[in-house]
Amino acid sequence: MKKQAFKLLFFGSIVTLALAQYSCKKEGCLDSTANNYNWDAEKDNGSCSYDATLVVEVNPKFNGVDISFDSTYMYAQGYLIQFSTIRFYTTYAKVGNGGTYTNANSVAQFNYANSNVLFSDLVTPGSYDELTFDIGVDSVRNHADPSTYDSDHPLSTMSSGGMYWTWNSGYRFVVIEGRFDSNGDQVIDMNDTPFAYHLGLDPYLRTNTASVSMNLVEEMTTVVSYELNMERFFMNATDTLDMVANPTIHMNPGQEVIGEMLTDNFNASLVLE
Amino acid sequence: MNKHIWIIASFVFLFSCNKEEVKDDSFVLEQPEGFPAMQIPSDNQLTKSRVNLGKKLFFDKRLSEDSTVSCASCHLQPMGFADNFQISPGVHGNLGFRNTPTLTNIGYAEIFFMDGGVPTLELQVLNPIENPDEMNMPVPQAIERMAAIPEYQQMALEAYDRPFDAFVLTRAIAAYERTLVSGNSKFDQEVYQGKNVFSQSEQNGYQLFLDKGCADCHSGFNFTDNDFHNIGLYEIYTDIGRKRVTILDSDEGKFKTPTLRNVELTAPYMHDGSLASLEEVVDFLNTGGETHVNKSSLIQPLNLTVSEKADLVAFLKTLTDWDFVNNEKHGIYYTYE
Repeated sequence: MKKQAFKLLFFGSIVTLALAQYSCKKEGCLDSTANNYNWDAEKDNGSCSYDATLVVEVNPKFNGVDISFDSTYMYAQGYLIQFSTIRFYTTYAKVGNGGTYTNANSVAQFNYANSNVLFSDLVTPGSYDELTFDIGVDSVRNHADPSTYDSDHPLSTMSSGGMYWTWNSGYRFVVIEGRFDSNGDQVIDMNDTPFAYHLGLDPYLRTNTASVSMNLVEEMTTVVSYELNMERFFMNATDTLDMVANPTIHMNPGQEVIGEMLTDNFNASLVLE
Repeated sequence: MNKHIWIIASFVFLFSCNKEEVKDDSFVLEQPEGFPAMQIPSDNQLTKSRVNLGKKLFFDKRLSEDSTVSCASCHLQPMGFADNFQISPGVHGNLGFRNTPTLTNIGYAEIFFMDGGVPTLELQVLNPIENPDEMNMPVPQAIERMAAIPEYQQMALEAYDRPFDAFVLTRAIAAYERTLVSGNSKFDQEVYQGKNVFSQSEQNGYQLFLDKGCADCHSGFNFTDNDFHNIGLYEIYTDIGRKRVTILDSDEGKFKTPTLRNVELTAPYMHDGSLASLEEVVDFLNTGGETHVNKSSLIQPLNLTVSEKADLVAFLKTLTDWDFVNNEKHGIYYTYE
């Protein structure tokens, strides 16, 4: 009888200790890829949460057709043009819902020569009705030292890819380059005049805001596509850029009016598809 | 007993042979009499290894597109780290649009380029490399090229504890340029070192320099106020100067006041190298300059006599520091050990 009581006590103690041990385990998310991974949790409580992925694409078009650097396009003033570079920076991309915003991307450089993806970034899941970003680089980062960034950072000396202005510390916000048929032979080659529109400087940072209904779901990818209407870039309701008279704009003094027009045009040309 | 002594002695000998010699990498920057301490960024304090690396890069033509132009091609030590071209030729003989500035005491400058477009000496390094009229080398390509040279990789690791990259390139060249301190001219000996070395003409010239208001802009130990002025060089400026950066009409024709140290060696003068000699500069300033809405009110006719003009030029020549231009430490063949 005494022996049986001892056995009962012994096994009871073990069960109690095991239960106590189990019940004392800290609960949390054990998936290291989750947003709320709890490194000192020992028991997964099913609370893991994950970001959604937002991909923003930009499709440069002329007359409604996707631009190819191998093709020529008829400019509004009756001569052929050909693009060779379409690049720009965006900063502080945010998704909004009823005026409350969530960060979507800090800084991105669009380079059509490489891809039509502006950025692909993780965003807090939810329903949003707005996507907004600045076209260009904010004044703080615009004047930071590009050599202090890691080489794969879009603003670094190595990755900015000629978007950094070395004579006036700061970045070109938008670079549109190519050639136009300046000799009228209906062919664009090295004999034709290049055009280069380099837009930038702090006062010319513009904010692009689009109304878009998005339901960003955990671990799912949502793609938002913009059209970059390059006809619109060269003209507004009242003016069309005279490429012959103004083949290059570098935001130099005397170029403020055209520079500002192209800056505003660029913002207006970037619209949701 | 003897055996034990030998064993101990052997250990001592062995230990002393293994002792690594610790290299002293500290760099003591010369601070001439009358000069303030130079402000040096915390991420680029001077060391011998940094200065050696920067100097090597400064003289290396491989930083240019076709390996024909280095920083030293336009910044020559015998000419006070400037040159004597009106506009210096870059790769393929390309010409820019401004005269090469001196690097004398460039570590004391507060803003860079004649229009002040660049805020630090480190960032200044990028422009000549990338400028199509100078070295015409996209900086990423320049870095890839130099990083492929094992010697540079090793020097970068020693100097900055990181592989050769844009940070190393900009820091190292700036580090070397900060060592280009000139403070032992005849002027320094007379004024700061208390020696009686001025001739009567030089003394007269110095007094004119002070009395005629030259020192209002060419002020302080380095003969510059680090500010921008329109001196009425032209009625219409093809190079708009500071306005290029600020886009302000009120900055048209304004250029940074250059130091006058070693000015005798850096002819021709003005932002476009349009005045060939110091005599021409003094003649121009004596007229009070052309009319321009932005012209500094400090620029007025000086009414100098012929002998006063000669005195003023004589004084300007006392700012030449022959020790500086002959200092072998600034040259490519000297290595700080």
